[in-house]
Amino acid sequence: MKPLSRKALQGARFINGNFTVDFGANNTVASIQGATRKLGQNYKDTLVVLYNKATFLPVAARKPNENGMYSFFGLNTDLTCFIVGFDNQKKYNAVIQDNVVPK
Amino acid sequence: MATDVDVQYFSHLNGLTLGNNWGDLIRLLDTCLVNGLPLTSITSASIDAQGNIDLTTYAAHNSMLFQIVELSGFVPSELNGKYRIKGTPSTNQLVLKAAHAGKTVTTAGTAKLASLGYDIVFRDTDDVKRVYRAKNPTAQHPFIRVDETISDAVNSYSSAYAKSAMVGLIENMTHIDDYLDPKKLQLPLDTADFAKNWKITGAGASVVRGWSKWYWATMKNGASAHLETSSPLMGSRPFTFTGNKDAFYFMPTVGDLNGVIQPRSRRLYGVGIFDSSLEHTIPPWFLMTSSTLSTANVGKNLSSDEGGTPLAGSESVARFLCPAYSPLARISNTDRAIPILPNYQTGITPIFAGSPPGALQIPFYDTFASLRGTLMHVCFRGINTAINSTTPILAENSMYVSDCYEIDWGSNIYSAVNFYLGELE
Repeated sequence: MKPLSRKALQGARFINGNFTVDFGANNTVASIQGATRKLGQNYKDTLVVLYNKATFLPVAARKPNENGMYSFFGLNTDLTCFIVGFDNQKKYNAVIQDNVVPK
Repeated sequence: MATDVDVQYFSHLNGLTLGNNWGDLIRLLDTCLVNGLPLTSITSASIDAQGNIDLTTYAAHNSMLFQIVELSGFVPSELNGKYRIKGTPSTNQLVLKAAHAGKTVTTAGTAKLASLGYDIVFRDTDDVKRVYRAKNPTAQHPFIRVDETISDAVNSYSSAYAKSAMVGLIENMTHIDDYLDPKKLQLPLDTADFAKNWKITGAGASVVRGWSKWYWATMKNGASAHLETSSPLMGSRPFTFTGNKDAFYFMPTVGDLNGVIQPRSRRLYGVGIFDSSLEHTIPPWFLMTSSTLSTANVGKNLSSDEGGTPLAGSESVARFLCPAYSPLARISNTDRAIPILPNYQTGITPIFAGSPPGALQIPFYDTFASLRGTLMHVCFRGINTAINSTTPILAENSMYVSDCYEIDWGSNIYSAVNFYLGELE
């Protein structure tokens, strides 16, 4: 007999917002993808936090992968955000990217 | 990662009708399983900077997020194929998830909501019966027989009564009424009577029609029972229909009460194959259905019978049907499948509320103590957000659709399940 599968499928955990069923006024899903850099080189030892510009509340947080790349999936095109990258080494100031719209 | 374009869903919100009329179920099955649903003509098509396809339709497209659209007749021809809807910005605009960046649409063709990928293997001259089977089937794929017959020339069931089709699975059919052969396995099956699921007996209000039935229009009477002899209300009913060539699930709103079609009073029906943990001497078939052999004028407790509300309620009502796993006696009476669930409160319990939609696959065992396999598509829903209708859901890149069904017709308690549709990118 083969072992049975009882897989837990992908869930979503937003800090604020109900984006799993709220797809915005355009009813269009979208994502944000980017990379964190330090002195021109991709840099992974950061925490990237996505904030909702309309409410200033955090939506989600990500640790970039080994290449410094990060992505926020399951958003919508009505959301205007700003992204803050914090240096976990605390050697550099946080960096901000403003007016990011998921595509 | 490529977008999954296999598991499709349909809804009444697409403009499909399911009313209190004979023939409505097989015509809906023809559309969802075989033909697909053509969209109104496309007045413009373009490709955006991300490579997605933007379509404008002449009239309302009535389409929903994460449904699969099939394009044909487009130039360049590599645009033809299946896509997921990632946006419905307005009633006549669609955004399809694609990877065609840099290309230009020179000719806009036609679009339809893709079917699940079945053939009509047999049909009858009176147009009340169908046998469906997956395209390019394996040996395990069943012949799915759906029979809306209400008269066999001797006995008949009044056309004004509750609407249901007799539904069952048969192996190796060679004609539309090929259910009397004692060498062919059926689901459900009583080896004492191979016609048990397909016959009409008795007269007048004492008629018994079929055994495994998918109701799509009934009148609720009192707290929990319904009478087939009570005429349902006219009017179209909400439903959700989800699946692929391996298995599909149908959630029709069947209950009328106090002169109103009860919008959340849905049932959970399903049919097809599952991921089996045993070898396939016995085919890996399952069937979620309303099993009843009582006469039309006897109240039916559809939600309190064994298997009445699959995957929810209690151990008995949460069951469904599967063939007995008996390789030495393949043609045996039908067994019951017992789903393995965290609890019987799918869609009501908040145990996974921190990670919506809290989707957990469902394995099952049988009454002879064999682990049998895991259901495809349908998942336990461990969150308590109320679901009232066909609801698309996105968690990271995983697409789902959810809908509710009524597990207690007396107290109006509604469960809900998640159907996993695949990955968006």
